Amino acid sequence: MGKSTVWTDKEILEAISGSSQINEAIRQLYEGYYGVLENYILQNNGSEADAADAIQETILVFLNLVETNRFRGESSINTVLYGINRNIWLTMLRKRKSSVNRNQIFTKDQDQEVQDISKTLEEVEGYQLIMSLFDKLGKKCRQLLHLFYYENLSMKEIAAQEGYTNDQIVRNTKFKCMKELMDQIEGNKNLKDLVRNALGYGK
Amino acid sequence: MENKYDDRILVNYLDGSLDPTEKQLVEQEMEKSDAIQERLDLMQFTIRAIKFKAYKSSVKEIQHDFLQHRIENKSFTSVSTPKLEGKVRSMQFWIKIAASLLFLCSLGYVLWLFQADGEQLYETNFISYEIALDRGAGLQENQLESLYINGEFYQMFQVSEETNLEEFNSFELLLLGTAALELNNPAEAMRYLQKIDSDNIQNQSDDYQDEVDFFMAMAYLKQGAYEQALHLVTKMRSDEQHKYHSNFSWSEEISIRLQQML
Repeated sequence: MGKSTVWTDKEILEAISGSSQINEAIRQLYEGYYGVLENYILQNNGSEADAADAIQETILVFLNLVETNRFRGESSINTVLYGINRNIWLTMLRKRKSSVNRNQIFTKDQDQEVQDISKTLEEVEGYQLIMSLFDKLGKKCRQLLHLFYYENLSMKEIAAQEGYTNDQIVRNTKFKCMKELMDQIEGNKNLKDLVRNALGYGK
Repeated sequence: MENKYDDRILVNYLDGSLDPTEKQLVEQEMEKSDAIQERLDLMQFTIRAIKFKAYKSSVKEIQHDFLQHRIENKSFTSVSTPKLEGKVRSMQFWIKIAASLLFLCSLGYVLWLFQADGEQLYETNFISYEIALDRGAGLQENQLESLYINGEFYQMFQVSEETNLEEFNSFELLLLGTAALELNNPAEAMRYLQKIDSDNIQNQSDDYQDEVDFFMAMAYLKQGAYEQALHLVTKMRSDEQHKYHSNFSWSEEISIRLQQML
């Protein structure tokens, strides 16, 4: 946790949506909001381990909201993270079938305005399934798609870094990898239906 | 666009690598065809899933560091010290205090590193292998898989008693290897995991290689074979794409190194 300067909401959002210094932005989220989010879980019958799980998922859902342009800073990051965290914690409690705990939270928090994140949670479920298919691709494919889509490296940079003869070969290989992944998704009816629902086609 | 479903063109569109005329053409086709729009949305969703995977790995690692840092800080700040009111201390006094604290902390840290033996590292880091959710869709679930899912590890070895090691596929070997670890039998686990490892080397493939690295490291730790465990832990930690990249912390790697030296 080397960085001591506290970033503004705007700086954090710019870093995430511009894919620059994204790890620094995530660190800022942890330094700025972990305590508040953890406190919420602890006050609502959760343990420190529960808080760690819920907050990890909260941050991921938040990143997806920014990535999909559904959060552009209309309200503060604090408010949005709080809402997501609360939703996730309620979902976790629901899974544990602990209606007592759930009711306690509802009575404590009924006046809080919380952003609806059900769509994002549905998307995250779809991502998890695609990720399991992604894991089945060969190592080269995984690396290539990661470098292009996450690290934002150009075809030329990937060719140089990974030892491909030229950028055209990288382009072709990347397409084949992408196609292989798409074919696997197409071949999995349950997954495809889930993704179509998340995208609003199935309703 | 002759082929309305040409994935290459759609991928290039999403990557922003089409020229303006081609881009306009795709957009016109999208206006006319819901199927193309849907295909494009599915591709975009898939790209976001790829990014999400990387986010997940980063978030996990950052959270691990954050919590580790917090634990370390807590242990120092929780010590309450009496106030030294009305007394002006020389700089030399404070340097001595700082040096003593640094010494004590370093000593504590080294002791902590030394006390974490293979058994403890195993207990801290072992996670059960989870079969991918979608596996049932494309492949028929076999007997070993069903038994594994139900946690019937002993039965897995009973039903495969008559089967030669060569007859198992990589997935079955992995299930048997991890099942042996669940039964606290690292030596038996090594038989199966090493088979996948050697097959991968021989066939230049990487079937379940990440899982094999992780569970072999676990088996080595459990057996106190620190040199072999260290080799695998270093491999996992140095490869950001490795599925188990974040499962061992820097200090745990140091602990294994120290255990190896003992």
